[in-house]
Amino acid sequence: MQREQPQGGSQAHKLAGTHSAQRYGRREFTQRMAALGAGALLPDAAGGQPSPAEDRPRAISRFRVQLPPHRYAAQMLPDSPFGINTQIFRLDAPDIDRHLAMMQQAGVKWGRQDFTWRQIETEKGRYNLDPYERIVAAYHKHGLHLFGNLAYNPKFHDPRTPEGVEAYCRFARAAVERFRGRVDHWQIWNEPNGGFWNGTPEEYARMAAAAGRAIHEANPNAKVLALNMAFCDLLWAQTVLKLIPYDSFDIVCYHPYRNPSTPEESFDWWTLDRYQKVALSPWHKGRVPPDYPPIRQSFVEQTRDLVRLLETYGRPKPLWITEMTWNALLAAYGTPELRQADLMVRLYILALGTGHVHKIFPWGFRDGGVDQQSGSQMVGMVSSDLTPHYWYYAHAWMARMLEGKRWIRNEEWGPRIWAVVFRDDEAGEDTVVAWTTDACAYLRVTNQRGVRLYDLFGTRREIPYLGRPGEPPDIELSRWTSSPLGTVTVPLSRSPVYIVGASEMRAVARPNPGE
Amino acid sequence: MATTNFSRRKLLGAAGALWTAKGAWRGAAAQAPAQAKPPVHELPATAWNSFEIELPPHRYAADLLPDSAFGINMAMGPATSNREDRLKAMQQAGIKWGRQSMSWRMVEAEKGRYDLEPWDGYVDLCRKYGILLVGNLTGQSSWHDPRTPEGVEAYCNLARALVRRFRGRIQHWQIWNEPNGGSFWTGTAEQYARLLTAAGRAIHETDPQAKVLGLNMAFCDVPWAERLLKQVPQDCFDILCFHPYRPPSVPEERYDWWMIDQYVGNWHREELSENHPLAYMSFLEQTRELARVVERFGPRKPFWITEINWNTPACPFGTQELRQSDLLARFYVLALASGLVEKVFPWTLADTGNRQYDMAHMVGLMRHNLVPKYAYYAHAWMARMLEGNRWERNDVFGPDVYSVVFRDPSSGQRVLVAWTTRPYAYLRLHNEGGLTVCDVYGSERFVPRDPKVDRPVIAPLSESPVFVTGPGELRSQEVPNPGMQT
Repeated sequence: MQREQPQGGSQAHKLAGTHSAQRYGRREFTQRMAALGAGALLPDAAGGQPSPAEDRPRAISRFRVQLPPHRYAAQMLPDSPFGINTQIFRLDAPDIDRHLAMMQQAGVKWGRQDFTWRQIETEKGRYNLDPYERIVAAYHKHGLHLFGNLAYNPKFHDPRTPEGVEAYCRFARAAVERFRGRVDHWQIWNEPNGGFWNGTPEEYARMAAAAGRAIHEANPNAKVLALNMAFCDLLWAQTVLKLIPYDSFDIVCYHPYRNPSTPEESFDWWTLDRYQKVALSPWHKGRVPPDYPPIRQSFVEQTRDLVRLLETYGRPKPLWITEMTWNALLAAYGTPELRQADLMVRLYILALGTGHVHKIFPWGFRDGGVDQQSGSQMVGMVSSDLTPHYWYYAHAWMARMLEGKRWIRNEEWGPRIWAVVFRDDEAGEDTVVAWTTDACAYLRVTNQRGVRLYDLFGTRREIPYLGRPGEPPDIELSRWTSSPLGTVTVPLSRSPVYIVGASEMRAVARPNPGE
Repeated sequence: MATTNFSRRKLLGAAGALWTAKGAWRGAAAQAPAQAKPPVHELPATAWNSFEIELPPHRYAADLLPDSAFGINMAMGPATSNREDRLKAMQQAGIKWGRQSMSWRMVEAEKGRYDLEPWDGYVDLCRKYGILLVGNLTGQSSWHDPRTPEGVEAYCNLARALVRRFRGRIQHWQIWNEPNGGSFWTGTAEQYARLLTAAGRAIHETDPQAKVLGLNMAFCDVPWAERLLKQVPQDCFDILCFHPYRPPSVPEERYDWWMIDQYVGNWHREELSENHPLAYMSFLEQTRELARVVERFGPRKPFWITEINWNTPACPFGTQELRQSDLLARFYVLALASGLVEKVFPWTLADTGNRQYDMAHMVGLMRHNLVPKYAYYAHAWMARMLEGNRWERNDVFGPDVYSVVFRDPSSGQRVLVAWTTRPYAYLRLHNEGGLTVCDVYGSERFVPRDPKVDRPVIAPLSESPVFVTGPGELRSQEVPNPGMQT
């Protein structure tokens, strides 16, 4: 049976993505809902007397970034990589417009929106999709595409059975037909390899095959998002892939949480502790060996193996990461907010630098509450009252720096230094995004007509080219200026920088600080 | 012109000295026509911030705090046109001490006459903004050679004149800048020892309350310090200063790129090998090594670090602006936690030019036009968190996790500062009555105490320090793994 989920959406279990299945339960959901009631006192741990205001968890941000207008703010950009889990659970929430406006300001172009089966089919065979009309229109008004995550069954359907699969397909058809042309991407369940799906891989494969076919029939332009795994779960994926027609889905999704490990690190704490040591589902019990390779792989290596697996079935499908973050809780597995911003930008660039990942949807846009120790609440780009965290600003700048540009090559691709190049054909400019996983390193870039450096928060520094074309620049010679021969030595750190210069700008790692 | 020389030679600290010594500057100033240049702060902007950080009032802003650890190199003087804006910025950043170069050439522009008039109002202005000064008596004289006995006497006369004039307003006097190499002192160690001995005695005689700052070395130059200490009376100086620049190495790292490249690879290229032990020490190991040597000659003197920074140019040895914040805060806390260092004076408040690719320009906590860099705010927050506190203990002190506790003796409240040099680590904090975790830019997060369960707070750490406040002892331990075992 499906686990009981609270009214108002699946958020109690979904808030932390894979975290939630084993780690967070109703108590935190109750706290979250209490916290969302703005101005209300939180109940104490026993649910009795409210605690005095000075004892409540809280956060104050004193850091602000002036964001310039985003040139693509009003446009719908189907090819944009910048998605988000919008965490719009209450379709009648009064601040949806503000919520979406803030996403728009952050440069988000795609939203992952639950189409919660149990809320839509409250009466058997009747689908109330009207509340979604307003939501879909609101997304579009703010320049956002969305895809629907079709999940969470009503009590009277069990999608693990043939009858349940048929019911799910009818529900899917109803949604797809209703929003045809407005929502053309549909996801078949959330994390069916873990606690959100209490069935077997075989049962999921049966449902995904049938629903994929139903969606394609209902809207031939529709794309079907399948697998949608917690972790980069190759064990489970290969079981499912053997059982479903390869053309029943179009895009493969996964949620490669790995906190607190870095994306580049060949070690994944979360997969070790929450996948290998604790079985993700009854099916996984006894199936995950202690030397399970993804434990000792970077995010890019895990993704590479997923692509290799897909290649055994046909042309690899595009990958979308439909959940990801480093939760900023003050507790085990947590990450400081400043570091969260670095890691998320690095993940985006690495993902796009693989050439296989097309979109990323961080989990999520908004904290689920104010409990700073809660993994399910400390998930957002913004706090529960919509105050931006560092990551919000870093995302907004990343989107401004990279939207409309295309990935062209990786000048450096580890193990210590990364330099990934995006091209703006219109402006004739390249943007190199670079960082190191060491404490410090250097990148030497060619300076043909001036170089602009931007950090994570948009601080801009300009280095002119002081010569005439074809001549060395007319600057003072010194070891402690950048080279006079038309290059700039850029110090790197664990926080990425954007280096903007003329097309064909080249970049070479300088492992040592001197010349 | 004086300003130009000043900036050329001083801005890099050790590096500036070296470079000038080798005569390799092909500076525009040397070739430029003699015409008035605009003040540095009026040069066009070449960098633009998007961020801003809210700073609450500093509760000690108006006070003169002789015990404060927070200094700065003033890098200006009575003739600096925006001096009051700079002083306001220093006050807002929580700076309480300024190292003021009092150039011999400028003060004794006419032989035997000391032009101290401009300095009177300037010293008072600094004090008005809550800043005490250290006078650094340095710079070549047009008339005297301090390497000779006559020059020493002339220097002592200068020192006496200044000490007498500013008695009660300036009580700390530094004998020369970086006399251990480079161009600031072209004499021998023996000649500097003679100068220090005589000037120290002259200053003490003129003002028995005065403190003399000696050695003032580029690098943590332990061999040179030993050589000097053999030649000077123990009581001729009171405070030992050094400038342990090490870009881009982190303070905790047992590898000092700058020392390898400059001290070993350049200053002492003929006599030292790349295996020189000082280059394979962390900042604190170097400092302890210096302390061991000093103790051989008598009771250990306090150490003041009268120059330090991680300069932020886009060029070799440069550091990113965001990272400068972290490194500077860590350096301060390590220095104070050592029990050896009393004060730290970064070089300097503001960039000395607008060339983003130039090591000599990108030296500030602010840009040349007094727009703050991240490090300015990090300094301001650090000062707000730590001023009035004294170092109490180190719960964890390396090799790659640090947790240092300070205590305010008047209130009994504690502040814990913690970070890791790894990409991540965790600290278990005892929560006696609610804990506030504050990052380097003042963003605060509060975790109440659970009245029913004695539940510790597991604080994730990064290379950017966090400040933790709350009632009680603030006991902390490193947690070896991120989660399961906690």
